[in-house]
Amino acid sequence: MKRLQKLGAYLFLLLIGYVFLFPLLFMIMSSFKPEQVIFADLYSIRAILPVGDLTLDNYRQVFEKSDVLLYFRNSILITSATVILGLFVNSLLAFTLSRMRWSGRKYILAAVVALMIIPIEAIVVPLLLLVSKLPTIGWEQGGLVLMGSWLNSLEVQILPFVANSFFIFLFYQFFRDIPKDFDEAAELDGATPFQIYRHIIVPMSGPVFATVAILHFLLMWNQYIWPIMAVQGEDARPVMPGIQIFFGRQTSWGEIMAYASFVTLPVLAVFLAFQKKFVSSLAGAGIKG
Amino acid sequence: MADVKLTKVVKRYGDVETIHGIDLDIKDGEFVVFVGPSGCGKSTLLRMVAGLEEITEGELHIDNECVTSVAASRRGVAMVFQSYALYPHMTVRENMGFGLKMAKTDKVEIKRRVDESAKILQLEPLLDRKPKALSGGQRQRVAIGRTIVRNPKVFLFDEPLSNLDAELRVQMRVEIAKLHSQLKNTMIYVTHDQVEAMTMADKIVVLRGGNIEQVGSPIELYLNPVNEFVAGFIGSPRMNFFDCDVIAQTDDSLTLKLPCGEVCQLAADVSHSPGMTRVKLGIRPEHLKEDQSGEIRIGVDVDVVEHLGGSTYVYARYSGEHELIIQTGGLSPVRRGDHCDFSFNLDQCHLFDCNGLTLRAAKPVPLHTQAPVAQALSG
Repeated sequence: MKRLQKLGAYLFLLLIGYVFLFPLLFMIMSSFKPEQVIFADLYSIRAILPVGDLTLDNYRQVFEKSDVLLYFRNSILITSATVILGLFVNSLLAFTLSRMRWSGRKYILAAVVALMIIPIEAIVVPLLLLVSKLPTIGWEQGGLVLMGSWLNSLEVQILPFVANSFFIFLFYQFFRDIPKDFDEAAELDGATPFQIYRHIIVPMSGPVFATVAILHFLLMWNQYIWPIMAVQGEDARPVMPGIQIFFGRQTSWGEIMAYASFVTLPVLAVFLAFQKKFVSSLAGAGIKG
Repeated sequence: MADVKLTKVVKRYGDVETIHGIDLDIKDGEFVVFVGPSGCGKSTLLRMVAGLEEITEGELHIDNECVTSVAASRRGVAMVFQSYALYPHMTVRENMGFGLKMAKTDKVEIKRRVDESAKILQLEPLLDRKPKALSGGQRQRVAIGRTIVRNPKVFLFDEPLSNLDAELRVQMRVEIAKLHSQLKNTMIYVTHDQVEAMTMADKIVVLRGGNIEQVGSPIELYLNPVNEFVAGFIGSPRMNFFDCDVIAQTDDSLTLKLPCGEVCQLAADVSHSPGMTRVKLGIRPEHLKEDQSGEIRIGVDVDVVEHLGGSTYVYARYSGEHELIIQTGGLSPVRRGDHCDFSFNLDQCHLFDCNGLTLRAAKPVPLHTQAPVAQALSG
């Protein structure tokens, strides 16, 4: 009876796993198949198996027909800059909120929590107005000058997304559970607040840094609405709005699948790299309650 | 090495005052223990000395220098925390050298001082381990080592043994005492365990409700407690107290009726407390005898007997309602449910007035030792 129950449970999990994996497998396998083979395999198990007439033509077409490599480079730059700056800025604010005493701290914390419920779509128009008026600082004729606006640049896709109230709150929750004795011991050892952050708190917070890095990476890599509004030219366009442009051209489904597979690879790579810490962070959060 | 002087030190959190104007002198090289029940302010006081809590009012001098507003790291103090607070991502060597690293000390010098401290505490084989790979006692030693490395004027200990098991606690107690005799630094130690206080201290500071109740050597506090609280707190098991009626009073003596009905006279300076009707008599568990050689005999009903090997604790009721503890020899024949007689001498009794202050009893003279006669007199 127990073995039957166990078998049932495994079958159920397998089914759930299939539901989640099917789109991913279908996308990757289709990217290696010609258009007619994709449709021929559509209603059989072959749709998610590497069988039949496999080819790299779709990928070749993607690189020829679009600036996917440029978009890819832009996305890498935007995402890595935002994540690195975000880890520093968000964790530092969370550190001061959770471990230092200063007047107004509670109000800032309340504001951070309140900001979590405001979606990006609600502020995107005022934000666009703001960045369109902000000049960039450039170097011309041996001096600093204010030039143009932030629109159509990489920084317009980075700076507004560095600080994130949800990530600040995640860091805050984690830091709050670290005993204060560590800070006090370090204070007696002569460490400044920044040294306590740098030498004590950050090394002890690997799981939360990994979690925030993954979530921030996904958020930035998948940015769609904001780049469409703030970036008009090709030079600063990231991969996701690039799909829209690619769709607009005469393309086959196989090519679209090849494009989608190509831009999904970094997400998978980052997740696999940080998976262990990410899972341990979630498990740890559960234990700590 | 340094003197520590607290002058009218007050701590307030908003409107709530937790430390009420403490005056205390700690001499160079003394081992002072702050002891008291939970919430008495002992840890707060230690943290104020450390610089981890702001001093609201008053002054703190260390080594004749006013450090009231000086940052914790510049006071010349080092502290061992209850939780040890060893940085889990650093090795023992890195933990011990962290303070010196923050002070930008030369690497060679850091290594020399860490090695020197490790030698004192026999930590040499553990220097490359991380805290999670250490036992409780080893972690405790690393925490102490971390303070030694900094060569502070004053060592502070905040209940450092409370996380250890009983056997290790005794062992570490001895090690800390040895360390003090070796280093000869001023040490301030906080504990709620009066046994630790009695065994380690040169001087004990008993605190209650943010006030100092008494300061003195362990034996001074044991023999001459200034009030009922100190008498009850110092000594293990705690002192037994009985309410007694005052039958007669002169300037230098009291005639009392004990709960058992016996009447006795005790010498005490009561010239400042005229017209007392009730007082409290205190007798320590170790001064109650199983034999009948004492001046006063009492019959008790035994509730619980704890055999500790070397001694036996008897928890009993006296006159039906008064609970008392008796410490007898290890081979005591007393059993649960027994009714037995114990005795004590009046010269080993303490006497407290209705406010709990000690009335210094001396040379007590029992008028009657026969209960029926005493009852007749009182009747």
